[in-house]
Amino acid sequence: MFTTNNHIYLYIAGGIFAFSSLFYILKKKTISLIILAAGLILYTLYLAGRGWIAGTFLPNPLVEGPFMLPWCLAVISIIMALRKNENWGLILIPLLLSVCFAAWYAKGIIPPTPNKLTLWAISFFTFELFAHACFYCGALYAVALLAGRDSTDTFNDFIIWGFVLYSVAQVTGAVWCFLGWGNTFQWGSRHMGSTAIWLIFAAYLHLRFIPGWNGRRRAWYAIAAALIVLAVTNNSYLYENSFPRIGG
Amino acid sequence: MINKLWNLLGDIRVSFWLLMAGAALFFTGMLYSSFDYSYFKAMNELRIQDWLARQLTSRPEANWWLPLLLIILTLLGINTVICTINRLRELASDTNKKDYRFILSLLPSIVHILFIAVMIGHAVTIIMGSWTRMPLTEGAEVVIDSSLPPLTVTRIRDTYFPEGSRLAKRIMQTEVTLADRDRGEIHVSYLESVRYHGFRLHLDMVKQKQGLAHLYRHVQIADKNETCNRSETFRSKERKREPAQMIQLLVISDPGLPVILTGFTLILVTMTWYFIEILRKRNGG
Repeated sequence: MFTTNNHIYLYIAGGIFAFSSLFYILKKKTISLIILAAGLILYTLYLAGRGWIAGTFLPNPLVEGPFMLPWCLAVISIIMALRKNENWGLILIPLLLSVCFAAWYAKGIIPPTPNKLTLWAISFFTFELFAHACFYCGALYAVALLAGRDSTDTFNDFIIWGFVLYSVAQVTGAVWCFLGWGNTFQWGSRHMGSTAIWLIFAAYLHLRFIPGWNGRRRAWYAIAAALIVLAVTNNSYLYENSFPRIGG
Repeated sequence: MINKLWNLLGDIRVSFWLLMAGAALFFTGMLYSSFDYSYFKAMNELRIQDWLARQLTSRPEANWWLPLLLIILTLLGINTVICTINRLRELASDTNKKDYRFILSLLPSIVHILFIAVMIGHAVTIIMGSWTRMPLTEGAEVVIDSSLPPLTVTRIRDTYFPEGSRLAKRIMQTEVTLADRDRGEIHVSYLESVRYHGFRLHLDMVKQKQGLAHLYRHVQIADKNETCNRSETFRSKERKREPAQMIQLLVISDPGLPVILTGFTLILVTMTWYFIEILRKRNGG
């Protein structure tokens, strides 16, 4: 595919997202949305091109965390804009940061082992990344709430949807793990980190039933929880960045 | 006294702190396993009581969090049971039981019951499961269980990624054919395990120098430099399997698996239904 190993498309898409942010800051929201959609189309082409890095099509490189997260964030921000949410431009902040991270990250692919060549793996990463994106968006809207910029509990919806998607990821991940390794849960850092994150957000869901945990306090909790997700996942990405890769 | 204990263990604040304590201990485990991957990998194919009996005394500094985690998860299970019973009691006193809203109000309790089922399933797996590895070579026999006739390995066929691609010298799939006197041929591939007399037959490949360690993980930890990235294991110099690439059959008995998978699936369906209804109700639907 013409975008395979051609990272200029990634950089241009990043530039387009930056332009979209600029127009949003200038309060030209419709233009900003149109530019964002154009950036998303280009980024989708770049992402699709990653599928052919190995010279034969593999879906795994498409759903590699550092590269798919910006795509998830762009999709969510467009959905929020179309739902007439006033503050959809907030999501452009993590979008730009994640594109910068993708631009810096190793672009090749870790050669997949046979037990990674399954749709269970693809669905696991897709659901997990959308969940992460929801957690980050939830934290941003929580900041907006604390700053008095958002009066609704949009952050709460993001956390709830993030939790649902994360739970789906845990189930698809458990099935994949059983098919690939013979256990639904492994005593490894990846699984234990995921379980810890799931428990943190499960605890969040219980907060509204505990006296004293009003919207503002829960907003603080959502921010802290998203920072934990950020720390755990980026630690994992940085570790994987050192693995031998092909292409890119 | 019993009432006090019941109320204490069924308090939602206790649920919150148990969830947080569980998260903290899983994070602790995550840190330990990220620094010592090969050591903790051995734990995946051993029953928890066997692991603790050996490792808690020999390496308490690496395992101290594990008994604490098991205690917290047990308490969380008890807390979930009590909270669910209390909530169902409240709902039972509701007069309008035919209302759709009543059915919706039952859903969180159903999720909690399913969560308990999944936890029990995991407990059954780690206490009663068994994982046995055996090397596979063409023509050799493997004994799955002493009560069963041996199986003969009649064929091992590797498929490589397409020629011309950058992965051309890497194994994409392996199919092992096992001959059974009663059932004829059994085919096992990566990601395609088969059921055999209550066992799951599962395929894996390891580097020969780590092979024995993989076979006897309970006494010998594999290579210290082992990482979760095993892509080099499946790479050959030419497009044929090398002697160093050892194919193993992993024979699994996991009595908790059906409960875990059924519970997970039902949790997803119930939880999605519940949250969609909540959001619809709030949006005026």
